[in-house]
Amino acid sequence: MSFDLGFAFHALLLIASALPTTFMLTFVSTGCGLLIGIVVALVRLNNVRVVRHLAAFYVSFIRGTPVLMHLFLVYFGLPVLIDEVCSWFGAAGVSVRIPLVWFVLTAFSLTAGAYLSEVVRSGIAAVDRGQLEAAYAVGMTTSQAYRRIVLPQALAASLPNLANIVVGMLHGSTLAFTLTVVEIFGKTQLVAAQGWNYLESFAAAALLYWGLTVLIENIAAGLERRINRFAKGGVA
Amino acid sequence: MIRLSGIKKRFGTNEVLKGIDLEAASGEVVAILGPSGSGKSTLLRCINVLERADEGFVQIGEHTLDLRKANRKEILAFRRRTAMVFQHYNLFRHMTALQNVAEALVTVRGMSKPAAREKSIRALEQVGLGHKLNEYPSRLSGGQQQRVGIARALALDPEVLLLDEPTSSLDPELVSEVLDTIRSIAEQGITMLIVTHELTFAKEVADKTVFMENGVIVEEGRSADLFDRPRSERTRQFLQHHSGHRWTTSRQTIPRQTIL
Repeated sequence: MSFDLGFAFHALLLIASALPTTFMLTFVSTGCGLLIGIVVALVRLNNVRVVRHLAAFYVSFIRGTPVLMHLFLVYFGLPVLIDEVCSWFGAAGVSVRIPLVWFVLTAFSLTAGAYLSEVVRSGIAAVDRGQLEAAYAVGMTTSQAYRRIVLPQALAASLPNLANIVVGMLHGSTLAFTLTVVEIFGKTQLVAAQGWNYLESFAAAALLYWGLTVLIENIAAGLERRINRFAKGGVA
Repeated sequence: MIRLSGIKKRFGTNEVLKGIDLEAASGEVVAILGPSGSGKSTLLRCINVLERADEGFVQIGEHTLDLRKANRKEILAFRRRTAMVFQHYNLFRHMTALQNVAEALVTVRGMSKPAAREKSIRALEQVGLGHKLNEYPSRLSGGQQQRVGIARALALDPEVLLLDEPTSSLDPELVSEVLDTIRSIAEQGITMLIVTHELTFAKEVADKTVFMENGVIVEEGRSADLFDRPRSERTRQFLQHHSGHRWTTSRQTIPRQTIL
């Protein structure tokens, strides 16, 4: 069997046209996931009544089931829920007008949120309680203390783990093609199917994912150096 | 002026404060002494509600806070009349010395950034750190960090300054620079409550000294009287045992630092 290097290069260019979709899936879901993660982490750390059980269930369930399952549960479940709720207000057929990619983003955000809540939780735990007390002592509200003092340091501490989650979501975004969203993986299958050049196409796609992963890791490492400049000279 | 009345606090079955009454006139410096576990730090932390007391009142100037009933808004307003210096400094580690001092002036007091900056620089100069404005805490010695902590508290113009064992986690050779700083601000007439193990310092700087043990005030009086002519046998024993040498057992707790 032969490897058509020329076609692989050609395929790479074709596949690259799906980059924006993959980026969108990865970064929108990690972004929304981070917001969910922060809220869930704060709820669990502060033992908020009732809601904390809900948060614990959410994290346990999402981390205990495959990403593909989240995708399908949202895809088949959410429309039913939306139509039911809308029917109370006399609106019908709302869910079919929602673009498919929104369901994918919802599912991925929920996935990322559960994993990121654990990342944020360990980040917050790394900030000593004394700083929170100092923030209260100078008269800050709880939300000011978290926004100005605790979360910036917690996120800086979580950066390496955060980068891992971004990479995980990048790779996980391939699953979107099971719902026909044409991201890199989907585009690869389309390109490959035209001339039966499967090996060349997937090799090209693999190279693309690898490159993106290395890029994300480097950006994270650079950010880490920049953000953590306050810690230079040791942890003491 | 600050007046504490009937402050009680228990942790589980352990009654840490059994009804504390204490008063400091405006500009007065009050030192609180006592063995470890006597409740002195808890008392200080109840004043700005870092610890919620079970009962009692705190009056600062015209304003009184019912510690049992106070809601979040009242606590917040009351905290803004006080400032605190911590045993482990508790500086914001992602901020420079200048940012540490300026932060609350901007977010809490609503000052403009340039005004806050100017005020912070003055506060840091006052504690002798005018040359360390842009250093992060990790680059400062313990004594310098504590002086930033003092500047952060001072810049808020508190009606009462609370100092919780400000030198207890410092290396012996750094203690005096911090004590000198505290002495100089005491001379400016800020009302201060200071929990300390530095007896000589208390005797020299404090107008009034309080001796606490097992959650009660055993004895209080003008510092000169209490040190030279203690009325209670317990006070006498305590002073005798701890005079002449530095109290060091309070250093058993090592600050949990941010690990990054």
